[in-house]
Order: sequence, then structure tokens, then C-alpha cells
Amino acid sequence: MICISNLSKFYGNFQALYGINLEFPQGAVIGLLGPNGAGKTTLMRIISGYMPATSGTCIIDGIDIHENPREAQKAIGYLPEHPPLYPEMTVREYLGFAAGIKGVPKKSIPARIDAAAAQAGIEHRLNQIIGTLSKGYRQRTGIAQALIHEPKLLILDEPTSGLDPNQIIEIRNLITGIAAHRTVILSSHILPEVQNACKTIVIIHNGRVAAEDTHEGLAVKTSGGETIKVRVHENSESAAMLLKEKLSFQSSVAKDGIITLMDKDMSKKRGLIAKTLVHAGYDLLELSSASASLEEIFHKLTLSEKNSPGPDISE
Amino acid sequence: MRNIFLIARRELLSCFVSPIAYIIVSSFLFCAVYFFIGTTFTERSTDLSGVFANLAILVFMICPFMSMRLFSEEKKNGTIELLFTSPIDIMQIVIGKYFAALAIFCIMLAITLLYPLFLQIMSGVYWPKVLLHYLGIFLVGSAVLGIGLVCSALTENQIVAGILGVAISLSLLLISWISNQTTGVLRAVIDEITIMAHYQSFLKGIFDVRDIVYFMAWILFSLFLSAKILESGKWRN
Repeated sequence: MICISNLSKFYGNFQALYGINLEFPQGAVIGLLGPNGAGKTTLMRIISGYMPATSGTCIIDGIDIHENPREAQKAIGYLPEHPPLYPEMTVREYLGFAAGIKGVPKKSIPARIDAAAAQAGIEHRLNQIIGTLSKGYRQRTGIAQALIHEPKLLILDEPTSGLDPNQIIEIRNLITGIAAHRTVILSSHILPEVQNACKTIVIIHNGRVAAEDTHEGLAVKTSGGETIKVRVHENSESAAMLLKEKLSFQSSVAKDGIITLMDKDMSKKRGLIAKTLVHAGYDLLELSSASASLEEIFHKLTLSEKNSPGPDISE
Repeated sequence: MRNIFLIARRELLSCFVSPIAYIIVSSFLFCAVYFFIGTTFTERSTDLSGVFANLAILVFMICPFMSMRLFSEEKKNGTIELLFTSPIDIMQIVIGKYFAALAIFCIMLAITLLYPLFLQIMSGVYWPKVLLHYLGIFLVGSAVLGIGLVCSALTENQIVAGILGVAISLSLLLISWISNQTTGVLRAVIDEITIMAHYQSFLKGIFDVRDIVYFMAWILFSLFLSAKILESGKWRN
């Protein structure tokens, strides 16, 4: 569905993207994650055909976005960071206009407006002037605009920025619903958002792809293995020593009564932990699998690359 | 064609929501009536060439403000991202917006037709010449709207676009006035390139295809230039 190869972007002398290579199949839900100014928006703008790359190619559904933007853009719905709304229009007028310029046949426009409004949850606001809508509803109108021509690929640039926690949850659920039927790329610097909604996570830092994998895959990569947390009633230090000796974990650390065990392959050892501890007479209180949170992964990846040559990027 | 129509219709819709359009149209009409009454009542003549000479100066001052918002507003609101990520050519966007501004200008001119109609009832006018005056002022307006369009593509601040447009159009006016003080090759060159010089033949009641070609070239050039400016903006961003 999306094939990006060796994509670079210069703003004057300043390089914002360094040879990005990414490939995603149809139906993928991709989260672009990175600190502010990492190049996420630049990458999304290039994929959506808003601006051209300096070098490299981006192929959407078999069509080069730079060579044949009009054809490729028929398959793309794009919501920029600030929804592109005309405040003086009603939601219906606006969606009708968006449908028209996106090539929806005139006859099917009213049906498409209703369908997109229903998907975005704004069907009862269709006759309201956009300028009088709340921020959450503006965002929904923006999403309805991106959906109006039933695109195969949906690009959402920070869809929840500036919303309150309730609105964030609503929009997140909305995106999860939409993602069931199409390929979605969504960017964020808010980690849980990406963690919940996206199957694939791409971490962008200083204009480069720092990592690309599923959440679990990233956790294994960055920590070097799976992690299990164990809580015993007392003597956690000696319990940690015992576990390391008997089951040979890569690391076994006891801190504040909690033992953190790490190893590359946990599948066989997982069952033996409880048995070993109980057998040795420890009171086992808790045993849980603890893959590194996205915050930790993100922090690790972006900080470890701090010394790379890429300069700071202002979007 | 459908895309051009959609862009133009949306632009017109927005235009008449903002007070700026009403202010511009009404001030133009107010000045136009003042010229009409002043000329016909003081000079006691049904020849409208003097009125139309004054109207052209008004057009030079007002038309850049009619097209100042066309792209500046889209850039400022970020709605240009919607247009640029839709399967639609930049040239279609430019033409659609230009037509919207032109439509408002035509409405303004159509309203001023009331005055020659009034004169017709009172004493009669020579319509072929009056219609030629109208064609002339329409072409002048189209050319000046083109200047405003280019300025609007340059900046996201509509006030800057408006003032820049007026500055350029008034400079052109000034150059054509200066040409009256010159002779020889310089005068010939200025007369070929300035809008006012080509408008003069319409005022005199002369229909010359070369003038039409001049205005057409001017309009096409400004449409082309606006499209190129927007396109290069996509590269620079």
C-alpha cells in the first residue's frame, strides 16, 4: 500500500529527513512517534502530496505521489495538525465542498456527507456553522473531511492535540473504529495514543527512522529481552539470587521488594518461577509480565541517538 | 471545469459572509455615482468617457483589495493544505479564485449600468460607445485583479497583499501619467506596456484587437505567475 524509499527532504540548507525507507501493507495501522520537530509532519506532508520530497520516492497504492499526485491523492484522506476548516461555512456545506474537490460524483455527495458525518459522530451538527463548533467537533469535522471520498489510506497528523481528556478518548475510539477498514498513518508525541491504536510503531528521531516494529517487538529490542516482575513477602534479595542461580536469567534485580527478571526467552522459565519460589518457602504475592512501556522505549531510543549528527528540526 | 466552479462558488460564499466585500462594493458604487452625477450635471453632457477615466483610477485603487484575501486567507487558515492534498490542479484553484473575484467585479459594474439607463430615459445615450467603455473598464479591472491575485499568492497576510497590490497598480498608473511628459521611443515603450495606455482607446471609442490581446496576455500571465508562486511555495514551504 505504501512504499517509501530513500526519502530525503531539505528546507534550504537544512535537512529535515534523512533517507527514510518504510513499507506498509494494506490495512496496516501505523503510529508515527517522535519528539516535536522530529520530522513527522514533514513525512506526512510528503506522503499526502502536500509538498514534494527533495529526493527518493513515495508510492501509494502503486502510484508515485510526486509523478502523478492527482491520481494518488484520490486514495488519500489527510487531516493536517490544524484541521483545514472554513469557519464561515456550515459543516454540510464544507463536507460538500470537500467531497466535490476530491472527485466524489455529484449524485453521491449527499449520501457521502451523511456517511462520513455518521462515522465521525457529527450527524447532528451538519447545519451548524463551523466557527461556532467546539474544538472536539472541529477535529471530528476534519476527520469527516478526510473520510468523505472513502480513501484507502488515511493520514492523521496529531489528531488529538489540544483536546481535553474526554475528547481524546472519543477521538481515539473513533480512530480505532475507522482503522478497522483501511490503512491508517497517525502521528503523535503522546505515547499511549499510539500504543493503543497502532499495530506498527515507527519512531522518528532527528529525521531518521529510529525504530520500526510492533509495541512488543520494540520492547524486546530495546530492553534486550522480556521482563517479568515478581513480588515476595520478604527477603526479596535472596529470592532474586535463588532465581538467578536455578533458572539462569540474564539479569535478576531486587529493589523495594520487587524482583525484576529479564531474559531473551521467557516461555519455558515463566512457569518455573512460581514453582521454584514456593518450593523454597517464599510467600509469592505477585507475578506479572512487564514489557517495557512505550515511554521507556521512546526515551531510550531518542536519548541514545542524541549524539547523532542530525540537527534540531523545527516544523 | 467542475473543480474551477466549486472553488469559485466557495470563494463567493465566503466573500459575502465577510463585511469586506460589502464595504468594497458599496464604496465603489458610492464613488461611481459621485463621478456620474458630477460629470453629467456640471458638464451637461451625455458623453461618459470622463466618468470612465475616473472610474479606472478607482478600479486601480479598489481591485487589489478585492483579490487580497484569495490565497492569503487560505494560507493563514491552513485550508490551503486541504486544496493542495486534494486531486485538483493548482491552476484550477487559481482560475476558480480569480473567477470569483471577477464575478464580484462584474456585479459591481452591472449595478453602475443603472446610470446610463437613467440617462437614456432622460436624454438618450450613444450605447455602442458606452458598451465599449464598459468592456474597457471590465478589462482594466480584470488586469488589476490579476495583480492582486499574484500579491495574494505571495503572502499569508491579506493586508500586506492588499497594500502591495495597490502599490504596484498605482505605480503602473503613475508610469502612464509620466509617459505624457515624455516623447519618442520611451513614450512608445511605456504606451505598449501600461494598462492605462491600452484603456485610452476604449475611452476614445476605438475597438482595437491589439488592446484585447494585451489584456488577455496580462490576465493569463498573472494566473500563470500565481500558480508558479504557489507551486514554488510547496517546494520551499
